Amino acid sequence: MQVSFIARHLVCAGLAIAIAGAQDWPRWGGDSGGMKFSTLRQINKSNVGRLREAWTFDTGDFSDGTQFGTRSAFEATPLVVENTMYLISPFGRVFALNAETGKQKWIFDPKIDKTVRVNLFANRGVAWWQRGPIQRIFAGDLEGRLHSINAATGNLDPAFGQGGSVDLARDMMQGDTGSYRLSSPVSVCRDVLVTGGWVNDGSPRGPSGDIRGIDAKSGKLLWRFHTVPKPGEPGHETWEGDSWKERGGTNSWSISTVDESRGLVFVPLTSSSYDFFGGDRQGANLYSDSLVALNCETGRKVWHYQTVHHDLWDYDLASPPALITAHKNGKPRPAVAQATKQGFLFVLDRETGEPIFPVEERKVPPSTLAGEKAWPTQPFPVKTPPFARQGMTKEEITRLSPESRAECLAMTEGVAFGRPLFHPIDEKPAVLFPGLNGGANWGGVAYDPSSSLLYINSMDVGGLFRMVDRGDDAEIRFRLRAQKYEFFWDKNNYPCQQPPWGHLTAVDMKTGAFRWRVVLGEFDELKAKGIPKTGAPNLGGPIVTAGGLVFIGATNDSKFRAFDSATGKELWVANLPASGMASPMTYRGKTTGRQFIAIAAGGGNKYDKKFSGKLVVFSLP
Amino acid sequence: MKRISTVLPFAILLAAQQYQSKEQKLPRAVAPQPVPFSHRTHASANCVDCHTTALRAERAGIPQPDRCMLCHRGMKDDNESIRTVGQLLANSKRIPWQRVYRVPEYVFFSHKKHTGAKIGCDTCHGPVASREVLEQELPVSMASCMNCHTAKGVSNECGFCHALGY
Repeated sequence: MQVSFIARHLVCAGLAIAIAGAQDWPRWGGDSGGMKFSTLRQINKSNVGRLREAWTFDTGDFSDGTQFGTRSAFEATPLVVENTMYLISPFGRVFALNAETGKQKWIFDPKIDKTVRVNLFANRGVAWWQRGPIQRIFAGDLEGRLHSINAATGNLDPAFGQGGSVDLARDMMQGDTGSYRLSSPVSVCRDVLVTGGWVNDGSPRGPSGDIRGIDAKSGKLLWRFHTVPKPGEPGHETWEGDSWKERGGTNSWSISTVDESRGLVFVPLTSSSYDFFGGDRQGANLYSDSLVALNCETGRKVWHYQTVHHDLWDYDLASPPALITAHKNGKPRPAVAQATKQGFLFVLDRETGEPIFPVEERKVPPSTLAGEKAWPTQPFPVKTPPFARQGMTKEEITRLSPESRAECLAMTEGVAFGRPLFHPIDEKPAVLFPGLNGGANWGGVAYDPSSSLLYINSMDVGGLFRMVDRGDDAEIRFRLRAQKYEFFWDKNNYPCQQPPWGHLTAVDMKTGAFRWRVVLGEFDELKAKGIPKTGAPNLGGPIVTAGGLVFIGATNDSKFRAFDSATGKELWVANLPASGMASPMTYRGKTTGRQFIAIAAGGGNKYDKKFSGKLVVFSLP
Repeated sequence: MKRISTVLPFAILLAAQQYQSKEQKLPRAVAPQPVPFSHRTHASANCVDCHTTALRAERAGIPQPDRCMLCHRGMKDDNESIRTVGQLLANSKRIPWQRVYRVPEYVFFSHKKHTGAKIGCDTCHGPVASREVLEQELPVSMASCMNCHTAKGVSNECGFCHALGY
């Protein structure tokens, strides 16, 4: 009975994805497994140079911090199902558009309170679910609500939760402070919505980061996985004393990935709070910074793999994992690839969590802060080289211009350089690489199953920090303070180390070696001065197509680019109204048969001073 | 003339555009102090006579019995409150003052930097010297900080004041 039930659901879900997947983009990562691969080849190496803007859609939703105190980041990847595009704005408004013309069909507005201060107004996308004739769009918002929207009309589904919405924040609050928000799409696994959330992790105690399974039809809670294990649960022993109680963080604000056939969801979890001092949470702190595989219908943990023990650097698992095929001893294995902020690529067996490409536990430096006990070892993947900078010497200070060099030298007077990865931050100001945003971030990777190549974009933007003693009576003894800016860059946001500042790397999943690696991004104003290509800070990710192309925006230079997926040669670049710090997507129009490529070009965030609410869509003339 | 009358209000609005925080009910009283203390009575002293680290440290410092008794040994020492302070000193105990102004723990506020920039104490704390019982009279909000920073051309970068971690 159980088998036939699962089989029936698998067939339905599989068929729906297969039909939609042929020319649509029904999931954040293209498919449930997050490959970000499209079989479309109308736009290919031979004609990509002729790619032109087809239409734009202006959501009108952005905030530069003047009207509302919080700035926006348009990080959304739209979905396209049956010629309708579903797009969410930084304010959580959902737009249904004709995918070929951009003409608006309907709009849903959750009416969030925009006067509330949050880190950023951001939302990375919606989720789509179909069962028979019923199609729903699920949209989270920054107040922690999950809305079930009729895909045809834009109206809330009254059968879901309370009048079409579920308050996911309600059961997550612990202690007196904090907030619970949804900034990424929920993951759809069969008829279950798997959801994490974004919690503020500035205090050691705060909202729970537990992962939950929600019935897609009714909105009812099906299960809850404790990301900080309670007494009697495996992993509880990794929290000394009562440090597990009301522990904040250990959440999943990024995108989870689904293996429909195995009924597994792969959840990337974050650091525990407070991010930078763990004196009050001695131990390895499972399941912080772990990739956790859960049975999506029961919430039972199948395996976990921790990428940072007792995190002191905010090295969240920010990247969505991608389901790939890797080779071990020459034989293909179903695998999951996890890129990290610290610049590592972990390739794990999808069924067991065992590393397919070897990982070594290496000794790392201890902490000098009173009360802190850094974990003595950390995992280092040894087959694939780090794809991001993991340290810096003083000799590497920028020579971009005399002004930039002078400013960077002035702010680094007396600070520590040359510290290795996983050196705990202490009271002496020091340069930290990778910085707080990585490395790799929520843009994740793209994977071409035909070539076994995996594509990762990364940035090299460090931090210049010290820990400040807040006194014995403080809630948390030490807090992290920036020396001047949140990032290690000059007043014009050019990083303080010599370029390159951004890369796009292709990794061969048969061998783990780099196939190619190119500098990603270039600033017009520097190019005009004859400065060689510098690369650029970037947030957002790549996609790859059967047309032999990798498309990527991400850079804070307001450009959108296409690369030859086999060689890394840059074949096409277009200007955007603001930086496209999002992951693009591609689909084929049902009426015209044309292939389109879309990217949100919102700029802003903390990397761009231009702001926009526009989605830009390209096609061949 | 018409042009001026339509443009001018807009210009004034722009000039007056300020960051806003949620409305705070001020003045805000705090719980009674463990030892009655009148700032008005002590107005002849300098702020730093009691808040001794206001010019040289992040925290201004709140006086403890040893500081109080520097002056009060032999001055009004028959007063009940002074006797209480004297006993606390004798027993090496601290006065559990109720703080009137407080920024969140994740905010770095340096009295040294602000006094060094010639920001008077009353800018943030109001006319303390004329008050019998101190209440919070001025907002200590992110908006009030940012508006002052804007007016004085000081950075409003997040990391300039905030501890990182989000």
